[in-house]
Amino acid sequence: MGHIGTIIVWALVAALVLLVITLPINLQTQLVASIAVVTLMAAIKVIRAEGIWRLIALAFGTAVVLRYVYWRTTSTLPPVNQLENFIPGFLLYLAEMYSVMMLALSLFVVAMPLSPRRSRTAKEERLPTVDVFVPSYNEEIGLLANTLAAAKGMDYPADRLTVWLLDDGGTEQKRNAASVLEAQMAEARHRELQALCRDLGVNYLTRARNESAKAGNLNNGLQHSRGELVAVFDADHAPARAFLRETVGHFADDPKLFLVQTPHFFLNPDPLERNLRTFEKMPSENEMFYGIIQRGLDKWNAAFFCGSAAVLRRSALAEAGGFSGRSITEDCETALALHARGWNSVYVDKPLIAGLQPATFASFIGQRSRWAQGMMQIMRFHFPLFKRGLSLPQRLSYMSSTLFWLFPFPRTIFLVAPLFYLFFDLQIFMASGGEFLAYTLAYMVVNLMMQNYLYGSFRWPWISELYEYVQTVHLLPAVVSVMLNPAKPTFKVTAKDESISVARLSELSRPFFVIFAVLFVAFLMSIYRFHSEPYKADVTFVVGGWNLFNLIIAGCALGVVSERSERAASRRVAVKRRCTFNLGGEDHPATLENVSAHGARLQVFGVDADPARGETAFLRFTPYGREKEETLPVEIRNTENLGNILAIGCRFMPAEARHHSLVADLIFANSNQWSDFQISRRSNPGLTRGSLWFLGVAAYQTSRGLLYFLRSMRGPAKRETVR
Amino acid sequence: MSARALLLGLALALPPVAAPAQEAAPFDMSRERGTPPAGEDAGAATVATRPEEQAAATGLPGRHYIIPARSLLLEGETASRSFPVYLTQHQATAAQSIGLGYSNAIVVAPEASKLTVLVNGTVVGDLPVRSPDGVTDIRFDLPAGLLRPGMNRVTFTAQHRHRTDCTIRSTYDLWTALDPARTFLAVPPGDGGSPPMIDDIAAVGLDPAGRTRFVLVAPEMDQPASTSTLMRLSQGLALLAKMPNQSFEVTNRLPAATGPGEMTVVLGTAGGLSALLPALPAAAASGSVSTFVDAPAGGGKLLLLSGPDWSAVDAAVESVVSPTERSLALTRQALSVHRRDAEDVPLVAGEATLAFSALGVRTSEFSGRRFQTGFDIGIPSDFYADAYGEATLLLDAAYSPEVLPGSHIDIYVNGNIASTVPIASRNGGIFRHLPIRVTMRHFRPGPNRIDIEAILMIEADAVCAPGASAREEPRFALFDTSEFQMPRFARIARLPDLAALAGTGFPYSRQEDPVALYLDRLDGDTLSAGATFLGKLAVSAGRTLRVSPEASALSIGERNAVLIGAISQLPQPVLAQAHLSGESASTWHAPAPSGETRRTAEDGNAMQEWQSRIRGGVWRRWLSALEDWLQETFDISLSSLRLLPGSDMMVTPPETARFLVAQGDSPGGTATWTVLAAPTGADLRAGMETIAGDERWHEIGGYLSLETKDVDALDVREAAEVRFVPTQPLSFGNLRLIAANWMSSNILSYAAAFCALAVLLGMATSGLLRRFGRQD
Repeated sequence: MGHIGTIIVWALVAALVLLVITLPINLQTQLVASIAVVTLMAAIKVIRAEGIWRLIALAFGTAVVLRYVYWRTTSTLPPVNQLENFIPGFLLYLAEMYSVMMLALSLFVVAMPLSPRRSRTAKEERLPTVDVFVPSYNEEIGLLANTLAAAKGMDYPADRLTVWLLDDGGTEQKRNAASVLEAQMAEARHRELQALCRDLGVNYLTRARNESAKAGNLNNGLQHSRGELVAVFDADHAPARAFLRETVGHFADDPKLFLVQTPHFFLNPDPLERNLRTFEKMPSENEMFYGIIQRGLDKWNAAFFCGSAAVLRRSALAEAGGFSGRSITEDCETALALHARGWNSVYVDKPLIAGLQPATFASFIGQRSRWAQGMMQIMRFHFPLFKRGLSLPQRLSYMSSTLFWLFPFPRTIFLVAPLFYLFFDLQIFMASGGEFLAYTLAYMVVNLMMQNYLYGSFRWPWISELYEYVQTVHLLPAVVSVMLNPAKPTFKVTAKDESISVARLSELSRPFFVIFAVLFVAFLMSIYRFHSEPYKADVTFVVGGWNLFNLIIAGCALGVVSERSERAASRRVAVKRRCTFNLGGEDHPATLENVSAHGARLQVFGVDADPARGETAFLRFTPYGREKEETLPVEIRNTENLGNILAIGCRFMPAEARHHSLVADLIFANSNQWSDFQISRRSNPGLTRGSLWFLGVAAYQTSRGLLYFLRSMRGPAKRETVR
Repeated sequence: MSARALLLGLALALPPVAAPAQEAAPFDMSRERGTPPAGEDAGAATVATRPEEQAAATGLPGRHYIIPARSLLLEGETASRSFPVYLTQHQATAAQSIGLGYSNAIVVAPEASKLTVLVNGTVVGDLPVRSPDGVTDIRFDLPAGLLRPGMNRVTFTAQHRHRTDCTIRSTYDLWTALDPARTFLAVPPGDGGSPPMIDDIAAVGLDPAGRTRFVLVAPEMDQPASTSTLMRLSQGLALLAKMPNQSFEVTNRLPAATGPGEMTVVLGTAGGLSALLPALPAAAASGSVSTFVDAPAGGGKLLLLSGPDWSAVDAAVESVVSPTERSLALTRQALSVHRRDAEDVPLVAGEATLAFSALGVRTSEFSGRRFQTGFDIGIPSDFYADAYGEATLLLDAAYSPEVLPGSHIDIYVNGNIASTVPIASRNGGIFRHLPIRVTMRHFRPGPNRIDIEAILMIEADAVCAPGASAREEPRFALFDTSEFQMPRFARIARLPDLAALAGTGFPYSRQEDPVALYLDRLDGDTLSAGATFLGKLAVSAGRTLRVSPEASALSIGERNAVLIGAISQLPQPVLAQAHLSGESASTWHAPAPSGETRRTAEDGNAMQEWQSRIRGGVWRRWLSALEDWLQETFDISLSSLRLLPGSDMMVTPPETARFLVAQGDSPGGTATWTVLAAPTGADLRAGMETIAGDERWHEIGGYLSLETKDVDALDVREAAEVRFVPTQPLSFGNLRLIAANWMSSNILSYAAAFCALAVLLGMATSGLLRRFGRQD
């Protein structure tokens, strides 16, 4: 059977399915069919059938969803002559149809994701020359030093590897700024970084003016370099030693390859993970994207550039005139332009860099606003569905990636819709309790089951809803503003190296409390109406339940915006590595337990006397890929006697560039430790257990949020942030 | 109920009181104070009685009865019924007054309740409803020229208010009963000089019990040649008169007298009739004669249809019947069946929107608690949307701010609740084309009754101050701009389907070829049953059906047929085709006294009662409420959970049954046989006459309906195993809807098809994804 034949067969089956779905059957039949489908899907899920069964389960789900769409469209819209019902009712309908469309697009993308590619180690003899770009704007020097050292430490012939620090914080424009203080700081930064780069053997490059933000900075780098390939790392994304070995080989396989993208692995939790304390046990938010969606996009040759942790081909970039800078998400825009010119991309599903993500809720929202606005700009400037040169699957894939960021609209509508009924008695969804059970509930259950089936071990139940809700409150205005004025947003660098010394409410927390209060009143209203109006108790029950769900999510979000204090300035990475600890000139055998960018904890054997706090010592170990032990100076911060062994916490005291390389080697060299950490979090709790767990978290976080709120009312003066 | 029956049983011996009752003091409370009321109507209402049966048997001359039923109740706070009355030229000019005998519930407040009589839309009189102790007779004079020759319409409208109670419940206690035997147009006897004409057959009228009877005197009925003539005549007469409860009696003797609602037709060759009618016109010996002659024994006119031989008699019959012919090519727009508003019922054969104004529902304001109105629509016999279909009522209505939430508007289809719209707003409101989805589950071929009832609660009703029940401020209004919207529905006929037979005469109504008719004996009982049945069928079909009498049931073969006979006389193969067990021919005897069957139903109630009694505790109450809700909302029983239709069981009629109608396929499965059977010839005739009554006729359904003497409902066995007969072009749209209905009746089949197709889709998608995009 050829390709055409497969399409014809599929189209015939799909037409039959549509025919059966659009039969105007009665409620009983619908209920029985829904129960049958849910049961069969559950059975397929329980026995964890894969392969063709995965698609059969998805087909079951799709059929129920389409049935819901048919019914929702034909039977539930309020009559047009009741405008007060029709307008909100139609908005709700649009919001639901958007969700269904997004489900369809994501099903298309992830129906059969590529399995992780096998390690593709580059051959020694034909290695291309690589320029590594580390664009920087305002990151602190210690952070840059680690990244540059890690980049320099990558396993690649030194003569073919050039590392560039592209400093936009020390441009002539900055150094000649009108404000004396700013100019002085830029000048100092310029000097210090130049010195650091000299020490590390890295090229320092800056430019005259800060034009076109990050894209301009990278393009400036392109103009000054000549390597065949370009690797891009954000200032806080330090690569593992194997990064180039794992990625460069793909360029030899396919001359039309322009991009090899790798996942972003974060050492620190995002605000939701930190405040909900899920970082250690629950997969991170971006794992769904890098673990499944990028693999799905890869199947359709639509994996796109994510701004960092990627290798690009210079000739491809040159053809398109460098990195695109029209939108504030230059990465996706560049990939779109190159895909449209017939270039290919590849995604390697192995964490090969480790980075930081925004720690405070405010900077998290700032980052997401940039993504959302940038994707909206891409929609506006290069509407992917009609973009010439893209294949149909690529068009759909890019639509899926960009349309996703419209989620604040449906989220808002889902949040507000029950209130229309509870407060104003508007009938915006014409259905009886029975129909709700047979259609809507079946749709929702099937939807959840599909999500769990697709993303189960990468995204626990209700977590997507929580993430979308916490972003919606502030993203909605951002998305609206970019829609009204698409050229307005400018690139803002996300701050990622903040820390929170005192537990406090986020400065963006107020709307969350207001929404929670409104939903809570609506909840009381639903109870009152359930009892006082027994003749429509079924509708009140359904709408009240919906509102209760919103209330639970909103309650959980109160915990997200109540920032916990964080002790460690930066995250520790568990390592197991032998080393020698030199204390007072005496060598002791030791094991490294964990390390962070600033220090380490070791178990040292054979120390008789407790060393004093602040005492200087030396750490000796063999970096990866070298034969000789090297020495790193440290300062002792604390000790703990564990019998034969003394546990010592110490702080790195890097005095020269070589020391930064050693620190980078400790933290970043071995990427397997990151994979292991990710895999340890990847378990699928299942719908029921996951939902119960979420309920527990929500209850606790609601109370924590309210407690923080009370505390902030009592002592607003104590609020303080240390950055 | 028993009190009402008693009141109905009372009848008045005195001649009707001529003085109009509206002259009585409208606010006379004397009866309530216990003093005997003075005045003319008081005496009239309480005088001794005469058994109703006696009146029903004969009827009084000079009365043209109006109500085609044994009794008429106007129930609730507002009720209205109209009746068509066909009058001859003479009757229309001679009738001077309308008489009515009514009684009412004791709780009806006379000062706030009113009974109105309208003739052709003109009010001829109204009176306070004040006859709780027995039937009161009232007579209203008719203005000259109000009645027309031909069709007239008489309307009775009652408005009731309760004396003391303001609850919704109390409205069910309000009624006025009109006594059909004492409700009539007074027409002086005689023909006023103009001899009756064939057209005047339609003015045959009613007897005091609301029935119409044609006596066909045919001394040669045992000659096979007479059968088709008799059957054709009965159909023609039935179509001319179109009375709701009409029956035929075939006899060989002249009746002693002809009362109201009766007509005697003498039929036969000149030779055959000479013994019966000494004064036979001489013309009968030479050619066809169709004329009215005086009855030999006096007492009215006879219609004489005669000629020298049977072909001449046929020609005489044809002169009566031919005006009723309708070509098959002509599609009916309405069912000529008079329902509550005395208009023809519009036939809705597909997508249609009917305004209430066109359906006879008028804009009305209402100040009571329970508003009722309704209309009728006709449904074709190939209607196949009972399982999935939903019609829409676009309601234009308004309610005042006093109306409390919790009030609601209910829609009933043929007496079954089909939809409820809660009134939820506290501040009054206007519905503008509010769509109300009405399930088509209870629709059946033929006329269908759709009732709209508004339950309206207000604060003042809870207090119920004296006089509150009679408040005048309207709290509800229904506008005649409301519409009934019928979607396009699946159309395919199923056989057997007795409901289609009763509703529109299907499948016989649609054939040009004669229907085979087998009568086991050519005697009065069997022929009467056959004539009554075919007369009924002709009215349902709206046309006469050609019949070809067959001497042997086994020679019918693959033709549509009607077979009538005593069960023991019908051939075994016929019984088998009609799903009647072989033993029923020998075991079904004359019916035993009924009443035994009731007990089982009561046992079921006792069980439910006990169940409800042990339901205690909050948790259990919640659970049982949920259970009830599920049952109410989804109504899924194990039997409805089926993949394929079941099969129809063979039936042995129970001892209590008197008469049955059954339908089955011909042995080859391509034609339809309808069987009318009873244990004896007398049962056959009596049973047929009973189901020819309008109410009972429309209960007929399924593949078998059993009639039991003195039981108020038929025992209907629904058909499971049906043969589909395309009646419309099998377009894609129609097939799709047919599939929807079939799958909605065989619920599991949909789930199975749904799942099977989803599996296929999954596999096809997998094939697609393996060929497109990058591969692992």
